Amino acid sequence: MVKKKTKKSVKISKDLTIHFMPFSEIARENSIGRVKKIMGHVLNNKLIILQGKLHPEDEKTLIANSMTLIGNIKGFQGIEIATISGEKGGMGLFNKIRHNIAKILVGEQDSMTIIGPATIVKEMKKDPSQMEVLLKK
Amino acid sequence: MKGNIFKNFASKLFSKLFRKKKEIKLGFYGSPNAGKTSLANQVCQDWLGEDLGSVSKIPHETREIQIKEKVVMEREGKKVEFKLVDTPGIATKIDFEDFMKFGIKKKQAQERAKEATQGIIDSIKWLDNMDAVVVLIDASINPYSQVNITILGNLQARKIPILVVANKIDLKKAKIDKVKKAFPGYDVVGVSAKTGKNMEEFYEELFKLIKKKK
Repeated sequence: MVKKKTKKSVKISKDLTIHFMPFSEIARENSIGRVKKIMGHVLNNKLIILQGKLHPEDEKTLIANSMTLIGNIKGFQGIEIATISGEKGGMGLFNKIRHNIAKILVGEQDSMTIIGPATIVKEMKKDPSQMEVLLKK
Repeated sequence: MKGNIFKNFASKLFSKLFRKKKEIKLGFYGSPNAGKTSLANQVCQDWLGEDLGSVSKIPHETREIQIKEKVVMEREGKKVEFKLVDTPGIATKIDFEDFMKFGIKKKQAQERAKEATQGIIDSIKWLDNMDAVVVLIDASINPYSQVNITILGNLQARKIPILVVANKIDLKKAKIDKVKKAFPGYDVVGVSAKTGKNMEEFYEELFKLIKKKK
């Protein structure tokens, strides 16, 4: 007896593409624009390494958007996302002010966010200062 | 002196505003299988003698917002009326094949996945409507999940009072300290929603939270 092979409609490339995204690429966009740009890459099966981190509101929109797409794009299973930030403890008042001004101007430069499609990324293991990205075979 | 007068005036004003509100909408948020419904059930059993929803080891058992109104809790002579809102667990991905590993048939698994995605969207929509939120974290696994960070970040941005609950402390591998370390700016209380362990401390922290809201 021959077993039927199941076909996925989203083709997963054997090569993994990593897209490095400077925060400036999305800084001027509004929340929807930021999510649109990110999802564009994710739907092309790219793993995004974003300089900085998203606002909680953006993350919320990103999750809701992913959920909407799960039913509508065949093979899409959602996303994996994780952010790591630099140590801020022990900062003096002056450095805190400097850090907050920089945050307003250019985003959180001491953070890094990784976003990828769940069809490629199996798991993101996070510790406060380290992150491991486990990919599917 | 002037400071005290202003403080008293502000306190009375907020107190009056708060009193006008009949009940406090208390949300239960967290990742799937963190124990939101188990805790909501424990609370409902303690004050009403009945459950709110069904629980299961299979993720996304709660796929619709479940509400229990008129849950009156009393502590030190003070009565507070709550509207408990148990929400579906928030996740960033859903694969129906994961449900099949629990013995669910393909068609039912696909249906469950569809309902779960809608449940997550609904949970997110309801975030803005809460008066106070209990964020449940499974203390037996790594707490550094982006979902927890996203939920807390959004609540904090809206200045909604938060109580972090480290659940499943009855398990040997549960580590409350790790949860406390992961979320240093928040009040964390460890409980076992399954066994009812530490529920007194939970209620104590909940009343403190409500007082903050006042």
